[in-house]
Amino acid sequence: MPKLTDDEVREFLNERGHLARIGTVDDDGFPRVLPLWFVVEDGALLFTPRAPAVIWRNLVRDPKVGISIDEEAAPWRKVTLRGVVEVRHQPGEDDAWRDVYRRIAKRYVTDASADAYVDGTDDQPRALCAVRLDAPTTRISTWRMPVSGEDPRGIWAQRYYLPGTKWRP
Amino acid sequence: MARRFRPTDAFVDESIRGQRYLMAYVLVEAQHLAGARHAVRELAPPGGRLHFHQELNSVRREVLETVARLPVQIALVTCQRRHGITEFMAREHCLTEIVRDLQSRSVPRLTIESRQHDLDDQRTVVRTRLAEPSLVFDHRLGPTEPMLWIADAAAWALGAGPLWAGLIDAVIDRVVELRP
Repeated sequence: MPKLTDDEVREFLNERGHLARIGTVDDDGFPRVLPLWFVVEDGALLFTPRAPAVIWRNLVRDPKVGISIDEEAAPWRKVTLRGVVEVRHQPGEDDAWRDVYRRIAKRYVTDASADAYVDGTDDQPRALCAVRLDAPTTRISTWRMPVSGEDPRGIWAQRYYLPGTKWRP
Repeated sequence: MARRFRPTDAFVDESIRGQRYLMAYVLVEAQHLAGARHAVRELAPPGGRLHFHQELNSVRREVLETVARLPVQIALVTCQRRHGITEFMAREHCLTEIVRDLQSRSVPRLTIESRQHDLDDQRTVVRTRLAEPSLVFDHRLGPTEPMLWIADAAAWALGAGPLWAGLIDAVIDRVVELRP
């Protein structure tokens, strides 16, 4: 199964525009998945839920998350991880880290739009959340389609192929 | 050999006695939750709840004697409200100690009786909680959770002197007096 190398993971996560689809659990037990802006800095994936958001309430209750970052075109690279969120700043401490949020916004929209957005919403408290990629509680897996010159039968992990089926390597 | 007590849930309520701020937490294993809830609900008026400071002494005694027979353990953390320690700070100190104790025992769930200032508790738990072992935390309204009635009764009894506290001595696990 093709996996991304550490360099490819770093490159993919640093590319502009990818969303982190972050899964938490609501208080009634249903899973909730939200696509959020993020940035990876100093080995941590950072995102910024707003104080009234359900995802923030969920993280306060239970900081465990599942995250998928993927692309919608070949080779459909994806990085999925599960981990425990570390709250770097609780809502109301935004002034201490607003530059981080500005950097996040600039990964998704033009600098001018990011500045306008951040400055226009700076009175709305957010939390700064982090999932450290090297934390003992973090599990990362990666995948991409086989590319030209690679065996297409390598598309799946071996365990997925039933015995005796056509593409079992 | 006695089976080791491995609580899965903790339920917390507070009491105030003069300058003392008390937080009691009831530890229970998942397989005994339903039975404990049922036992306590039986003591409340139909459709109502127990609220210990409003109950008659005869009811208090009956409740505490019932609690002492339940498969639970109860811990108490207290903090004096003096030398500049406000009620807010006392609660913060107590809750910090509770979160640390629960994670040291790998208790995975914490439920606190909801008050007007749940956000303060949230901040304390989020600041104190370690990544591992997992600790899921929530506030619940007192009327909806009979286990919180036990915490309420225990906090009251443990603040009311040895005669009342003695009634639940069999299930007292630890008493911690904080001196910040």
